[in-house]
Amino acid sequence: MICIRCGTCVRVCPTNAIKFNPITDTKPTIDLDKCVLCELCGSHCPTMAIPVLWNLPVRKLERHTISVDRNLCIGCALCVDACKITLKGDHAPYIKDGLAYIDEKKCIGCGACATTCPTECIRVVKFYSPKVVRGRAEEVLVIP
Amino acid sequence: MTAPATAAAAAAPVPKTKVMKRKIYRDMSKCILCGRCRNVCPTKSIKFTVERRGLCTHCNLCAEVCPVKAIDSFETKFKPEDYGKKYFLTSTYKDRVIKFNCVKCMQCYEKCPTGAIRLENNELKINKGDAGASIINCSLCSLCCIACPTEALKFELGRVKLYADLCVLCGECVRACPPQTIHLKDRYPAGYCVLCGRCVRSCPVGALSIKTESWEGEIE
Repeated sequence: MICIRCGTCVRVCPTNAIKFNPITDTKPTIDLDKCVLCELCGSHCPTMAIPVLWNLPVRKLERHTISVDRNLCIGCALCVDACKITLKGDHAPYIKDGLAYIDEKKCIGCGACATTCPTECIRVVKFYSPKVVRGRAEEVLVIP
Repeated sequence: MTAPATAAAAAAPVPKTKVMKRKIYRDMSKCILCGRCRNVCPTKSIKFTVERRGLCTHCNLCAEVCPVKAIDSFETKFKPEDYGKKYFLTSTYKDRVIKFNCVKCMQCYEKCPTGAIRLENNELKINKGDAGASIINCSLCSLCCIACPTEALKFELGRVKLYADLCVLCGECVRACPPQTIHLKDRYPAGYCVLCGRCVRSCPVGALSIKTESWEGEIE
């Protein structure tokens, strides 16, 4: 699988070794001096683009919520472009009257739109099953 | 000429191309979920979880510990890599019973990793089923050492070391541990891997080995 630029690894990394600017970069970059090989990014990655899976199992996303603060939205449509990579052409966010709305039936909760949003008006909360893996981001992950 | 060259090299260190660490590698295609490694681990750094407790994983451990051979072993009937993992392959042994010559020494009862052997009317019985077990090692990520406020846990020579006189019993390491193997034992942290290699030697099918994990920092 390929990276969908969702930014989950950046939020999860306990040593801040992963850097990602979603507007200028195509992929997250990893500072190998800081990496401690904890494999949390690999276990959180929704598309298994990070292949390090020696010890930790893959986490399962139980449910997610997504919301748009339309007081802050500037209608730039970057979230639509970000979502097209995840859903392969289809997109859950759409622009109506210059403001972003999200089709919750299509949304799979990856968080790519929230990472890309320049005004941080989209907020995704991911709920994981807490049984297997813990780390800094425990059961709930908030993007951005 | 050499002094400024080394100074320049020190000022601008070469960025790493690879991050490496020696770890215990578990080949899950071979692992039979018997829990032997968990039993021999001196620091209890191997976590054994089952979805449903009290069901047999067909690990053959009870047959091996039995002193009077009251439990049928399928040691010679299957290849070592076949037992345990494939529940349906071993389904001819779903009628596995404890025979009448059982002396009730309770060895199998103690050693069963999932607690599938129960005592009923003064007779030992095995619960059949698929327990859905998983084994997780300490991943030697050294996040506990980073989280420790007093540097009582240190990552030295590829192992985690505990300096118990510095430990303030705060439990930060327990909260930071991603595979949840660290726990407080007698109030002090336990459950970090020290790479002693006992689990590697105890494994009957050779699923465990000490390997160097390396990552080039590539995301596909």
